Amino acid sequence: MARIALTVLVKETYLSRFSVVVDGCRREGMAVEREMVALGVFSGYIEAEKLTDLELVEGVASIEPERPMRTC
Amino acid sequence: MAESGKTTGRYLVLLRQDHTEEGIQELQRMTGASIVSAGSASHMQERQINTLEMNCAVVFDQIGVALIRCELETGAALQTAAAQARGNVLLVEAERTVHAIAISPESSGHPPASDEGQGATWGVRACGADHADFTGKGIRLAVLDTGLDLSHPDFAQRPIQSHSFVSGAEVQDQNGHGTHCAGIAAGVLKPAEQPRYGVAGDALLYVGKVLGNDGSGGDGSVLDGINWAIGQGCEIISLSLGSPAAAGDHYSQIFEEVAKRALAAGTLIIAAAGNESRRPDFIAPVSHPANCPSIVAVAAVDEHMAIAPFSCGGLQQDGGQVDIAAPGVAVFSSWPAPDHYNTISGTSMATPFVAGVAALYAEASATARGSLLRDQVLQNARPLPLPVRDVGSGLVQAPGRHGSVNGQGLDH
Repeated sequence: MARIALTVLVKETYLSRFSVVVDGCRREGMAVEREMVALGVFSGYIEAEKLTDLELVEGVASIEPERPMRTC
Repeated sequence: MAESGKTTGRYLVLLRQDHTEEGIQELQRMTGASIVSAGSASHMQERQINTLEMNCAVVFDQIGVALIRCELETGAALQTAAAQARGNVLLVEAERTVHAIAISPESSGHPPASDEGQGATWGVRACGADHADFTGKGIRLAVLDTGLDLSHPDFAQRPIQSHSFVSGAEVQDQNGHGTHCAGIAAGVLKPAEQPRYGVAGDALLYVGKVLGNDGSGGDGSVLDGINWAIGQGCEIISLSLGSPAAAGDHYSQIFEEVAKRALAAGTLIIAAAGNESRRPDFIAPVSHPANCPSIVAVAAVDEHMAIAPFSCGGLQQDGGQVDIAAPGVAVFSSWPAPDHYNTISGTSMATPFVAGVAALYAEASATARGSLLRDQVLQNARPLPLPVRDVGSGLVQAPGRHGSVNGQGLDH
């Protein structure tokens, strides 16, 4: 099964319940590696086929596959 | 690219824009190669690139470039054919090992000709930082990149906050790119022997290593760095990095929301427009994350105020505009030992000029934060006789005085 790297944005109304959203995504199988509380985003990995399940987690505003970054 | 002298056994093939299909067919006719994939870059394609077999090619159809692995004789024949023919295969080059995005024939360690005998580099003079009344004092400026050479003589005496967001890597810059960018943004006002190369010499520097020493990273490490910088109270974040965007790509909703939250918190994010253009034949759209409306996208100009051939353009209808331009060709700045200094090019170099100038405006006015700071920087740019698509509102200008190029004011 393919694992993909992704970033999750927490809804504005859930920023004060950031950890609740993180836990919700963990329960759906996401391995959360970085938590950026001030920004309301977190990132990690998940099996590709479980990606759509994450969108249903309470407090999730949007999900994007990680883009590789390079020096310009 | 900073050349190491090594080639990879593969060849980069530039196909005529809008004739990629025909170009691929010609390539196959000339080499008999199999095309293993086409389409925009993905994790899958990255693996294919790394394990490319002999006489196979990967095509990046959004930019019209193919990467082919073939025998030396085939590669040489391809180069000859491309040089002679007038078909859809425009150019063939042996792929070089790359370490940082740098395009310059100048020798390392010494300022380029345009800076000789001057008290400051052409870039510092062009943005007017050398005549500004401000130096960034008290302003927290974050440079998120490959780190910093913490033992560099121009930085060693300075209090610097730093943190690595790259697993297994220290902040110490083993690439050079981060040191170069930090030098442009906040380099020392009076270097011992060199021309002044930095804009906001008194800014409080925050160095976040979000790219590895090979110059690569991802959304996660960059967001981690942004999160840290905001937590540290940085008014400005400079991102000389990105991911190429394809025509028609929408900007990242996540980065746009992050940038909006940053602005609300009083932090302005400035990012490189990207180097994917090959003007005049091809103009690439502004890269991610600079293509977010709430992030200032910086294009590169040279000392003659011409748009740099690699500088991306504002091609998208919704987002993806270039906001401003800054010096980005043959830019002299700090570099790790043993050279200590280097001259390289890129929208990466242009970006910290804008970040440094933003620090000057932030020092000039306590209310210039977030969106208000962005407005001041963009509205005080000097208009250039170039398309807004390429340079936005124009050449970045420090508060207070007019910039000069080769001793002449820009409005003559």
